[in-house]
Amino acid sequence: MNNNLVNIKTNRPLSPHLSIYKIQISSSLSILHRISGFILFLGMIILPWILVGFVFYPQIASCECWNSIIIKIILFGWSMTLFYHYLNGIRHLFWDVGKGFEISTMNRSGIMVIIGTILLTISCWLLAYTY
Amino acid sequence: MQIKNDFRTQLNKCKGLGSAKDGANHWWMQRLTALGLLPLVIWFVVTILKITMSNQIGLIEIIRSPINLTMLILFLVVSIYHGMLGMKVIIEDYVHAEGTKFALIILLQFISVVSILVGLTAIITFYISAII
Repeated sequence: MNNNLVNIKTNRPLSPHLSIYKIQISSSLSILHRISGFILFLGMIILPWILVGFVFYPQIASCECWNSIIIKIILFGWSMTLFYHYLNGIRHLFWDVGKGFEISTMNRSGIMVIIGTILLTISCWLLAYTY
Repeated sequence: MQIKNDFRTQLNKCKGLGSAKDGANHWWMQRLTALGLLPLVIWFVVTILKITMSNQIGLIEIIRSPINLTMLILFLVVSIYHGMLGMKVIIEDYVHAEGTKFALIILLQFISVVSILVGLTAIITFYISAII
């Protein structure tokens, strides 16, 4: 049923919609956590099928297409997503034990997550390419 | 405007809707798997770097070690389980049509279990071919 109709009928208070709020570091990092989680899950349910393909059909593993630029872009994006979700997840675990809720701390840890994500992604890809 | 103290509708109570008393377990498992993934993801990233940085080490050399084999299986199972828990919350938050929501959650759980089993099949087959 339409939730708004129920709310009007029962005289319940309505919380403001998301679009009312100004975009802040806290809210954007929060929604990015969900989006990154979704992308990581997609990757993790595709990976088993690729593994099965590699094991049972060796010609798939030797395909030149794995060196293509599209695959590299996807992997680069996925790795960045992984690092972001990992670092922001640590932030969430700290909140779960009741630490880091002060606005200044939260903004600082948020910026640290962004910088950490960029540094980890770039250093991993540099390592993979320079060796 | 007068605000009622009880926000639940009478129909809601009559139908027995409300908490399924299952939320705490979902929350707890999501945190436990997150904790477990902290070392597992580090292992995963380091292992992939090892493979890409070396010409000698492939997945076969990695998987021969029982520790790596265990870590790979743990990473597969724990990450997909953690992802399933998160995806369930996303579906519950954004899909409001009762039927679609139910169908999507069932689909999600099927896909998750099948993905884990397909991954295990691949890893075990690969391991056996590596040791014989």
